[in-house]
Amino acid sequence: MILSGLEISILVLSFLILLAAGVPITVSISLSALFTLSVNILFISSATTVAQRMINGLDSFALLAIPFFILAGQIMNSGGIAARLIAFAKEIVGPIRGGLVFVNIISCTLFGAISGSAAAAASAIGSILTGKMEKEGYDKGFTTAANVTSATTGLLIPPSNVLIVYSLAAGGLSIGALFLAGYIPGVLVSLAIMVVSYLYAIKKKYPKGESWDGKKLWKTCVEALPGLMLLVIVMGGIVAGYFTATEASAIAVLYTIVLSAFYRELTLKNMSKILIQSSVTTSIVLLLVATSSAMSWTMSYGDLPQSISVALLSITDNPILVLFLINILLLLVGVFMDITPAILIFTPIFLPVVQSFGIDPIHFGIIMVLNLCIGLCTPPVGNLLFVGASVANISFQKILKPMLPLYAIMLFVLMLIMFFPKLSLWLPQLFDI
Amino acid sequence: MRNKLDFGLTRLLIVLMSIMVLSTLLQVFARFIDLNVPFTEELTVYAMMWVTLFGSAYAFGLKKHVAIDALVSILDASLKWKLEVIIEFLVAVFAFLVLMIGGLWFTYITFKLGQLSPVIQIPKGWVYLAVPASGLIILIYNILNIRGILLNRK
Repeated sequence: MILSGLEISILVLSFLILLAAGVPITVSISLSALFTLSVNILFISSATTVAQRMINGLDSFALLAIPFFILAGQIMNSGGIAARLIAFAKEIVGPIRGGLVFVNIISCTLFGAISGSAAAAASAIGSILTGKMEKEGYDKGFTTAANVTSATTGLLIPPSNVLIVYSLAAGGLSIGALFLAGYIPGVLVSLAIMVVSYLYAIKKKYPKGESWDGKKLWKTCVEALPGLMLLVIVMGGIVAGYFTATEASAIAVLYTIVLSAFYRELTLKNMSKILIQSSVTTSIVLLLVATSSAMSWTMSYGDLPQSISVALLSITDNPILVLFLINILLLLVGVFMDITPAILIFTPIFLPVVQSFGIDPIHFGIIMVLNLCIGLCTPPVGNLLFVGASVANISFQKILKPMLPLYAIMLFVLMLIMFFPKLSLWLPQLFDI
Repeated sequence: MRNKLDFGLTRLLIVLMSIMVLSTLLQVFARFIDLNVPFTEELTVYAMMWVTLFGSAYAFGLKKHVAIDALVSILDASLKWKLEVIIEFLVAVFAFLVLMIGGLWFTYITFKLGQLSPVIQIPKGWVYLAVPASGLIILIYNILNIRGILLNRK
C-alpha cells in the first residue's frame, strides 16, 4: 500500500498541530499514526495495531541498557561522584584564561561519558558551577551555552542511550562498535567548544585560574578515579566480550551503588527516591521509543521510506550531495523533534539510501547523532537548551546569541566527521568489533 | 485518590526496577559460574515494559512528559487554562483509544490465540494486560488534572 497525499498530509499536519499546541510528544506521535491508519483501515484495527506496535517496540533486551544507565547516572548524581569530577577538572585546566568554562566543558564531557545522559550532565554540572562563574564575572549567557553544547558529547561518548536506540533502529548493529566509534567525534566536539570558549575568554579578559599544583592535581585525580573507573569497567567489559552492553549497564548500577555506599552518601531512603525518579525518566524515554516504533511502522506500511529515497535519488545520485541533503533534512528534523523519536523514525528511511552508496552504517549513526545533537540545543524542541537555561536560571533567548558560534563550530565538526569516516571507524576497526 | 494512586504506582515502580537490576545481575553472575537461569532475560524485558507503561501513567499524572510549552506559556491566564484542558483531553483520547480500546483488543487476541511466553511459559496476555490497565490509570489522572485546572482557573 502506498500512502496517498491525503494520508501524508494527515500524518504530518496532525503531528505538527498537536505538537505546537503543547500536547506531549508521545501522544502527538501516536495519535497522528492512529489518524493516518484509520483513513484506510477499520478504526478498531488501527487502534489495536498502534498498541501492538508500541509493545513490540519495547520487546528488546538491548533497550534495557537505557533504564540501567539512567539509574546509574542518578546514583552518581546524588552519590557525590559529579562533585569529585569537577574538582579534578578544575585542577587540570589550572592557569588557563577562562578556566571555569573549561572546567564546565571537561566535567560535562567526563560526566556525560560515564552517565550517558546529556540532560543529566547539563543539569548536574551546570547547577554546581553556575553560581561560582557568576561570582567571578563570567557572562551567564555564554557559560550556559558552553554548558549546553558540551553536554551533547555525553550522547556521542559511550555509554550513550541514543547510540543504543540507533543500533536498534538500524536492525541490531553492534553496540560495542558504535560505542567505540563515538569516542573520537565526542572528544572533537568537546575540543572544538573549548577553542571557541578560549577565544571568547581572551576577548572578554576572563580571569586566569590558579597555577598548576602537582600535589592537588594528584589528590583530586585519585578522588575522581573510582568514578572514572566505571568507564574502564563498562567499555572494557564490552570490548573484551565479557558481557553485553545491557549486562554492562547493570554492572554499572551495582558499581555506582557500592561506590556511593562507600562514600556514605547513599541511604535506603535516598535509594527508593532514586529508583522512582529513574523509573519516571526511563518511562518518558521508553514511551517515546514505543510510540515512535508505531509511527515508524505506519510509515513503512505506507512505503514512505521507499518514496522518500526515490525522491532523494531523483534529485541527485552523487553520494556526497545525497549525504549533504540528508544532513540538511536531519537538521530541520532536529529542530522540531526530540532526538530519540527522530532516530527511530528516520534511520529506517535514510540508512538504506546511504548504505546503497557504500557508507558504513556505524559511520552514518555517528553523523546522525551528532547532527541531531545540534537540534537538541535549538528551540523550539531543544531539551538540553531548556534544561541548561532552567539550571542557570536565565531565559533561553539570552543564550541564543552566544550560541551562534557554538552552532557553527558543531556544524564544522559534523562536516569533519562526515568527510573523514576514519574518525568514527578507526577505533572499532582497531579493536576489531 | 491521587495520593493513593501515586503511592501504589511508586511502590510498584520500585519493585519492578529492582527486579530488572537483580535479574540482569543474576544473569551475568550465573554465566560466570556456569549456572543456567534461562528466565532472566524474559523477566527483565517484561518488567521493563511494565515500568514504561506504569511509569508513563505516573508521569502523565505529574505532567512530566516532554512537550513544547511555548504556546501555553505565552497565552494569558483566561485562555491558558482552556488550552490546558484541551491538552489533558487529547491525552485522555490517546489513553482511551490507543491504550484501553486498542490494548484491550490486542490483549484479548493474544489470550485467544493462546500465545505463551517462550521461556517462562505464561500466557503472554497477562503481560499485555498492563497496556489497558495503564490507559485506565492515565484516564483517572486526566480527570484529576482537569479538576485541578478548573479549580485553580482565574
